[in-house]
Amino acid sequence: MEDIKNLNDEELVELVRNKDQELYSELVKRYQNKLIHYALYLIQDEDKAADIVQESFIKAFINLNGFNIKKKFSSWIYRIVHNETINYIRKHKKEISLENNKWIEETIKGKEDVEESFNKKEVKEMLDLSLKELPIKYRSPLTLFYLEEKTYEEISDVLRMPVGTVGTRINRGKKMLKVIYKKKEGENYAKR
Amino acid sequence: MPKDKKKIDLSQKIMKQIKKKHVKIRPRVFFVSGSVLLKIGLVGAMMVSIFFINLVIFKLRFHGPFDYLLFGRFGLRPFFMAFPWIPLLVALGGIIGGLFLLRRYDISYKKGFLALIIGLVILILSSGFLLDRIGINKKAEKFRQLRPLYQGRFIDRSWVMGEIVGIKDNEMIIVTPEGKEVKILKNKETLLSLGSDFKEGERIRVVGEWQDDVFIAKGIGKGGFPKQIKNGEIKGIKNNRLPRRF
Repeated sequence: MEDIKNLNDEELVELVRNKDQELYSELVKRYQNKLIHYALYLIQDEDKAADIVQESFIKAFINLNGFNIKKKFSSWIYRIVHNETINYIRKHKKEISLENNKWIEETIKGKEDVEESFNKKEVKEMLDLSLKELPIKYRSPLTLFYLEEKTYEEISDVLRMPVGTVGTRINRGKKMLKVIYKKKEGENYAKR
Repeated sequence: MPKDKKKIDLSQKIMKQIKKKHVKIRPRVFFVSGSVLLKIGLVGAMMVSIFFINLVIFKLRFHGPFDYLLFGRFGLRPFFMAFPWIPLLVALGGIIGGLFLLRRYDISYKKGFLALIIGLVILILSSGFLLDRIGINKKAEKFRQLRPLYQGRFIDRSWVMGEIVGIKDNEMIIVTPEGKEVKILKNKETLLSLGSDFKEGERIRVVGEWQDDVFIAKGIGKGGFPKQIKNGEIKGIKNNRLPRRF
C-alpha cells in the first residue's frame, strides 16, 4: 500500500489500466476534495459539486485509455470537472447566472493602466468574499491559480486557452475583484 | 464562499459502481480508431477545401464572372449565374469542418486559434492556387465522375459567350464552346466598354436578350474562356478555332 502512495498519478493510471482497477480509488482520494472545492467555487452548491465530481470520476474511468500518460493526470481530471460544471451551469442557466454583474467589466474598462498590486493572501481573501459576483470566465482561472495553486501552463491545459489569455484573465479578474471588494466595503460602512 | 466543511468521500460510491461492472473502461482500440478517424477527417476536409478552392480559381479564370460587372446592371444576372457559388460554399464548408476538427488538438489553444485559422486559410488558398497553376483541372476533367464539376454555362437567357466566326455591319455570328451558333445584333445603345474593333477568331461575352433566335446585345466585351483551350477540350472547337459558317 505504501508503494502505491509513492507512485505518481500517471504511473497509477497505467496500473489501473493494465493491472488493478481497484487502484482507481487512490486517484479518487487524491483529488476528490480539491475537485469538489473547484466545482463548488463555480456553482456554490456543495451537494451538486459532489455529484458533478462523482460523475466526472466515472467519466474519467470510462475514458482512462484515452488519457495520454505523457500529460498530467491532474490537468485532465480538472478539465473533465470543469467541462461537467460548465455543462451543469448551462443546463441550469435560470438558477445560476453565467455573466452576473456585467457592470464590473464595464467599470474596469479603460482603467487597464491602473495597476493594482495584491499579494496572494489578499487575493485569496477577496476571492472568498467576492468570488460569487465575478463573471465565470474570470472565476475559473482565478480559482485555479490562487486557490488550487495551478501554474499558468496547467490552467491553460484545463481551460484549453492560450497561456497569454490565462494571464490576461487573471489580471482582469483581480482588478474586478478589487472593484467588487471596495463596493462591498462601502456598503458595509454605510450600514454601520 | 466555500469555507471548509464536511469531508466527502466519493471513492466508495465510485468503486462500488466499478466493482459491480456498471462502468467499464472503454477499450484502447476505441480511442485509437477515434484518433485515426479524426486525422482522416481533418486531412479529408483540407483536401476537399484545397480542391474546391482550386476549382473556384479555375472557374473564375475560365468564365470570368467579374467581367460581366463591366456591363453595369445588365451584367448582374450573368455575374450571379456564372459565379462558382457551390464550389466556394463546399470549400468554406471544408475549412469550417477542418477548423472544428482541429479544435480537438492541443495546438488549437497552445498556439492561438486565430493564428491557426489564418495559417490554415493561407495554406488552403495557396495550395488551391498552385493546383490550378499546375493544371490539375485538365486532368480532373477527364474523369467521368468529376466532369459535372467542370460543366459551365456559356449561353443563357441574358448572356452568351463564344468565338466570333463572322462579322457583317451590326451583326456577328459566334459559336459557343458547346458548339452552338448564335447570331448577335448590336445597335447604337450597345455598351462596348472594352472596344469595338472585333475580329473573327476573337472571343467575346455578350449580355442582352433573345428575340426569337437572335440575341440583341446590350453590351459586348472582349474576353471569355481562355485562348489556351486545345482542340477537343470543348465540343465544337477544332484546332483552337471554331468553324466559320457566316
